[in-house]
Amino acid sequence: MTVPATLVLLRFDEPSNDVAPSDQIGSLYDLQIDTGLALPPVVSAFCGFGRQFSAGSALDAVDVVPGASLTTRDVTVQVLLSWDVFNQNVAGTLGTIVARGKGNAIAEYVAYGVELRVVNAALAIGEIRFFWQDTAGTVHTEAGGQFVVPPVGQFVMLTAVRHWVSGTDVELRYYAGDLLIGEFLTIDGDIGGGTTGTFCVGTRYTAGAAGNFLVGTIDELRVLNYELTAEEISATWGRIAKLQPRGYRAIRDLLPPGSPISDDPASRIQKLFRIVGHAIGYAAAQVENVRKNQMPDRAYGPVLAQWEGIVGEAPKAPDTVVTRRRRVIGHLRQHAGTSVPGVQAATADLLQLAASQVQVIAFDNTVREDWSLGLRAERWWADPTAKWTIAAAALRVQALSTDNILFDGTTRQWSTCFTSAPATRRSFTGQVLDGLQANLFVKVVPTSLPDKAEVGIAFYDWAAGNALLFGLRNNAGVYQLVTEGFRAWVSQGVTVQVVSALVTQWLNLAQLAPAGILPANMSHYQAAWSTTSELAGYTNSAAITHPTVFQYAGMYARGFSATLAGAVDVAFDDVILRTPFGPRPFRWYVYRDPTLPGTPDLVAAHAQIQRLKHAHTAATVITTKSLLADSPSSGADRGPCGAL
Amino acid sequence: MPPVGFFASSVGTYSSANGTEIFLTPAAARPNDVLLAAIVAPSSSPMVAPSGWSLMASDAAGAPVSMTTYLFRRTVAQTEPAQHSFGVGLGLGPQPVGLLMAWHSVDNGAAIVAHGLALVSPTSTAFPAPSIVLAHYSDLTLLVYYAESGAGLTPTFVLPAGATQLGATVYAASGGGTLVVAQYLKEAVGATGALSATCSATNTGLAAQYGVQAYPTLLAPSVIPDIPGAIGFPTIGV
Repeated sequence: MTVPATLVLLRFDEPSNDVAPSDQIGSLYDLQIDTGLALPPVVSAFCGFGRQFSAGSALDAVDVVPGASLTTRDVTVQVLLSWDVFNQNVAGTLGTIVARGKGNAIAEYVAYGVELRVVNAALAIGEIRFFWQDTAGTVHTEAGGQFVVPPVGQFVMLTAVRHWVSGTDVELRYYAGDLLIGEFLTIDGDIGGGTTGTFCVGTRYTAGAAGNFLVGTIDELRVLNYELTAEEISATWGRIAKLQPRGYRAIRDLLPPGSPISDDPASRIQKLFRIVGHAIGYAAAQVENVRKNQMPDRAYGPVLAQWEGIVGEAPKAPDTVVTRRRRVIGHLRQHAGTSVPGVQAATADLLQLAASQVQVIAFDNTVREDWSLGLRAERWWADPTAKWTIAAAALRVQALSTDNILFDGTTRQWSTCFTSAPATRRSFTGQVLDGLQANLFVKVVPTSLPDKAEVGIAFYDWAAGNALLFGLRNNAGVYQLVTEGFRAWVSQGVTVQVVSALVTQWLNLAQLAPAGILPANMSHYQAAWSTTSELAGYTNSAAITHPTVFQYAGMYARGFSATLAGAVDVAFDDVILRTPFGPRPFRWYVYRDPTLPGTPDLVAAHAQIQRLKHAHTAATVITTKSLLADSPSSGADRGPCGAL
Repeated sequence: MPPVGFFASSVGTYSSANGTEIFLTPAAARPNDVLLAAIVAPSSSPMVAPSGWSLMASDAAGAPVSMTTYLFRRTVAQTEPAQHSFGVGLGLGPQPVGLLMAWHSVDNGAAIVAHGLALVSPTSTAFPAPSIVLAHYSDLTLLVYYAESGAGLTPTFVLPAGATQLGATVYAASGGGTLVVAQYLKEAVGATGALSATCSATNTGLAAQYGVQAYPTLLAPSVIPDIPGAIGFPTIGV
């Protein structure tokens, strides 16, 4: 981040034409005049002396240290001047205040320039606007802010602010006094300029020739490499236009009536009073500035940086002051902890939403799936994909009579649709106990189940070759509910739990809580089935011993022979998987609907909820509920990923 | 007050089944900005604006075009809806077309300054929007050009000098039309003169001008030196 600094400050306080104007900062050599141009003469102005520019008169200088006056990003140009809009109109040209670069070579490309345009001379309407060149030398003249120009002899403070966000996004603001007179966005973020460029005042060069001379008096001119805020501009203008004159007024009012001193403003005593009065006004302005701009909603510069330090909201280079304030305020508005209202209140401003529009998404440990949203690839791993479809709001698996869907441990051609069944608990040996005490319910609706085919539900450890299957099979025309365990791809035998029929089955497979003595890494499981309903009519199997750990749970269709007697067509619906030791409750999301208007600060909102969340949870701001790799909308690089 | 400024637009979508012309609110719209919606729809069908929108002007073009231009205005609220649906009629042909624009500093209460529409017959590529008289220096002139597409024809426009296109919508199917909306800042009072766009083909259509009042430019605050000598720009403090 650039260190905020004043690059150039020209007070034009030199009392004589014989003394070259100098830069108070020391960035520039003393200002000179080019061949063929005239010196703007010294005249009285508001803050001491100034320089009266006119057609053919201008000043320029190069940097003492090359690049000292160069900025190709943020810049603020502020000038106290009296503009002769009528004679500018007579001149028939634009009036240049400043141009950093003469424009005729890469090193001289204009990094920033500010000019005045006569919009309507009869109504004394003028415009202040930026111009600059890109790195190819093309001149970009930007939209300007318009104002009614005060009569000649009156001085106005004009401020032009450029805030560079990116190569295609630049914010421009213009002020007259403390009035915002223009605010624009431009895509002209490619800005040229060289370290050895010339700093020109009162003119702008085109093809080496000076032109667009300013007609008016410049009292003071300064260039800063950062974005001046409205509050800071207002404070400066308030000091110059109100508080310093009031300080002088206060000194005069302190004198007893009839004091034997001159009331003539030009008298020596009144000049002395004026010095003291302005000093009082200056001090009052600093106090007023603290009073008005100490709180984070109006703070700027080092005060804002201090607020950011206090709340731990570090700014990024392209952040605007408004963005930075919003972050601090968002942080301070935290209340009600991680409750939904608390999260909404803390992030609403940052997300540019009403609090009621902020969606906070959190989960319990149960996954419910009715397939109404289709076969969501974020949740389900269907293999092979072509065998699994959604029909009539249910998951459908099909196989042709010619398909080989044999699964016997050695051959694993079956069709599966699994989801993960993670757990956060570990064993004494440090093994992650995925699948711990998982409980899976599925409704199975068989339409066509040929001989040698089986459909059902399973817990599956693909890496270890362990699987526990519970399904309905057609065994030579007899429909049986069977369980079969595999360990390291070796069948532990088929158990026929019951002889059933080709009817809707509600199947349940669960790992039981530890009870009794079991071999290491083994658990008891139980199968249960009903042909009545999801909630009633269940019969439980005897305990089944099977390895504790598995990563996947879901549905399958398999053959227990390589040849099927016909086609398979079975539907699965109303899936419920509960993983009581799963991590889902520890992940939550703040969803920002991208179709709503506004320009959200997602990074800041994400940072905000990192401070709000409990330490054992993970939270992220998202603008899509699907995980899309490399998409910033899904927070893929922030984690936890996705929100399903 | 900043000068009048356009900063975003969205093209309308016609739902034949619902009979609505729907505009998404531009994401950059902020409270107190002004939204203007320019819609061209068949004259035979009534126009129903959603809540919060006021009709500034409408002008009908007779046969053979038989379309009406509407200009609506709305002030952006603190919680602005994500979209705005205008009732334009079911199953219309030609289909309505429209553009929603977001502006800074458009007067959100003033009546339309002036408006005028010209029917364009298929004898020329010129689409002259008739002159209107602006009452204020800061008035904004909106130009609306609409050309019927015909069978597979998708006309385009070359705008008059000084005009800046704000948005366009093209409906290529038979019986549709091309709409182009542009701004023209005269920066003076008086007649704007006819502002003619050139169509890519001889066509029927319409051309209209709307004078919309913007907030006036403000006098810059100033100081009058009595005796030279004051603390100017600071090196410390403000």
